[in-house]
Amino acid sequence: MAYGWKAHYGYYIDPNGTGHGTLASPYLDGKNISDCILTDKNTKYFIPEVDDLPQPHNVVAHSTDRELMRERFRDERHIGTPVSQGITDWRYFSLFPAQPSPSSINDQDYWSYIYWSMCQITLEGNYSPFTIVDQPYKGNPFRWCPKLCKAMVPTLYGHVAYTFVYLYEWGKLIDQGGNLYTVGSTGSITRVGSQSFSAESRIRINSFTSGTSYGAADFVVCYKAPNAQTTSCYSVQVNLNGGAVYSWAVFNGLTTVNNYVVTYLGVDNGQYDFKSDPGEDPDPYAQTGEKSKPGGGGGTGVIPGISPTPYPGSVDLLGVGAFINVYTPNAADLLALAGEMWAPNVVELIKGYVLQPMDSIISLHVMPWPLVGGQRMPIKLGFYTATATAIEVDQQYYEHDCGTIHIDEIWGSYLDYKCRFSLFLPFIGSIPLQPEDVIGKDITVKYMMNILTGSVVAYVIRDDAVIANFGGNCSFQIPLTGADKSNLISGIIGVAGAAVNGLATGGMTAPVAAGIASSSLNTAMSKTTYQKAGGLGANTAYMGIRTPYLTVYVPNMCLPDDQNGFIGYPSYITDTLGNQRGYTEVYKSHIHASGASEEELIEIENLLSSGVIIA
Amino acid sequence: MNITLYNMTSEANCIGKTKTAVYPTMTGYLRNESSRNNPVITIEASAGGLSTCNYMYIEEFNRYYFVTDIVSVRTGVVDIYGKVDVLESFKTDILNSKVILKRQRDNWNLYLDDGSFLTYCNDYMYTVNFPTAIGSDTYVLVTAGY
Repeated sequence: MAYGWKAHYGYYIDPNGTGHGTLASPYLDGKNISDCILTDKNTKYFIPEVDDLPQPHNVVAHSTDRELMRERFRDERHIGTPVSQGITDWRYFSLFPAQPSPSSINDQDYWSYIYWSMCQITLEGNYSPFTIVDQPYKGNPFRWCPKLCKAMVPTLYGHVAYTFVYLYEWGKLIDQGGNLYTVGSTGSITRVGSQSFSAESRIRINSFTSGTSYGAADFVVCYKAPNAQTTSCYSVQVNLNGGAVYSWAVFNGLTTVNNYVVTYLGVDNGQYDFKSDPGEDPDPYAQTGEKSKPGGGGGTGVIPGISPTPYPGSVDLLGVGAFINVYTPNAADLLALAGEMWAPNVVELIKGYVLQPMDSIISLHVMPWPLVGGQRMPIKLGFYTATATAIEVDQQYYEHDCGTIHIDEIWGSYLDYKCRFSLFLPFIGSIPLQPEDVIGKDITVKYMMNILTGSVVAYVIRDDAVIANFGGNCSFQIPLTGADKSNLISGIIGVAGAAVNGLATGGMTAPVAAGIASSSLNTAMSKTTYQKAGGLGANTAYMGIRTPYLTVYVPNMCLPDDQNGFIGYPSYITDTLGNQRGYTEVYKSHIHASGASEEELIEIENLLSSGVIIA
Repeated sequence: MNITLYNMTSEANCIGKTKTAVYPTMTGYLRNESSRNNPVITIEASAGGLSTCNYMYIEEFNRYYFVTDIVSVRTGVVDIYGKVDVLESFKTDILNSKVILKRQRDNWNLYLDDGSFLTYCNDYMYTVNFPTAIGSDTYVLVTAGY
């Protein structure tokens, strides 16, 4: 069973020492502390520094290198360690200076630094022991921490520190509690009481002596998992090595640096905002169980696992090199060509064959693919061979593999098949996919592109079989015009340069060979001054996302506590009642009870139909 | 007839009830015009002594009964009203029966939608990017010529 919860942690100190329940003037308002909100900017008692990550070994030295600090924290926390061997995770901790005889509130040596954050983690596995899954936090454990806050509070003799933990399970407050600590005359902090709660962090800190190994009771963390029957406590020993080098305690919960004692108050963590990534949500009822078997009627009961439509693979068509030439020029090549085309002698030369020099150009467009070029060759314009050169392209169709994603079940139930999926395909648009096509499957997207026309076909492939294909156009046609000879051609280069980062076309329409259709060897009789091939307006997709992505909308289940205990879960399984335990509702029964009257048999079946509890 | 009076602490619809015998062996007799399923048994006992008794077994009928009422007839004599508990009386036969389960606490198929799971109106949403974006842009120049 997987489970998850979240916890808010807080801390405040009552300077009057009146303790929990009479917190008349707390320095930190526990209600706001988790949000990292200043209670009073004018006081020195609360200094939030968002993302100011302390070093656990030496909190005095702060690093401004945020990534470095995160990296360090990642290394020093033990996610993945079973709870029975260590603290579940740190999320909130405080640093208490263990200086003797604090007496002045203005003496910062006797202040405590308190850090806290709101994070989340997924706990998975049986309750005993928990196994903490590292996967959601790979790379950056602070990824799920909206804020890390820091506060500095005085910890003077006689002050009372109060910590509290609120535990939320699926957004519902299920438990809360706190501890009281007093600051002793030696600067030590002693836990003197607690408010009853089943998930808590307990810390008892004594005065430590260098070189002394303390007993297991020096550090105790207790918590009780939701629905668990008992509270589990884990202890840790404190080892001091001459006051200089400190080994981590048994459970990564306590270390000391000089006279400082770093304590970790976080007991567990859990889902703080599981909406941010439901792919990591724990499944509250993903237990193993017998499943109904498929089949029935006259069918074979065997469901083919593979679509009969295979991926067509690469297209190998000719068309390049016979009547037309395809180049992949760079901007300098185009500039050179433009300059050459509008040289007076060349214009006259070309016009001996066509009405406009531009008519020799069938299309000039931008494609979002790197093309495989051959040799650099002089550009051919009809019968004229320019001195300008460009890389010649001898392949018309290109394939691009966008890769494969895998979508797992979220709930492990029919709700997964109530999910809605929208696949965005660049240059094409968003298309809906059926849950059956996606859940538990490897989904691959491959593009096939025709560089002459810009038409693309995106293949959606599930487990090596094509389940859908969609067409679009990805070419951005650069307008060519004869309105102004050299100026316009020069302008085109600028437009084209911008277009590389600019526009393209999208849509679900079938590909159209716009370039070839609108500009061809079929020269117009009229020397119209404004011929163009392609258009800017349609190619808006060039400004869009270039990565396919799948958007998943997951039903947000509202699960009351112990639903299966009260009303069970859907079954529709044939079995013997003696094999069942707990709530059982029978769809159909034929009870043969020896000695029972008809009236009693009817009553038995009615009771079974309305639900019984089998002890 | 022999009667055992119990203090039963389970739910009424429980099969395999938890019960503690308060009076393991008592003798009573069936009042006139009583039925087997809803008997009224007269026994010699004080009503106060039966305050924790809410369940009984009648050996002659081989059935368990919910005690629905206890009425004092006279000093030291009470009538106990019962209603047969068919689930407990025929527990063995019931538990040996094979049935089609509609809903069960532990034995379920969560891929069936019987409408018992409610969802909030606001779905979760997340996106998964494919690993490889469509690549860099390239000019394509197509010309006529041979």
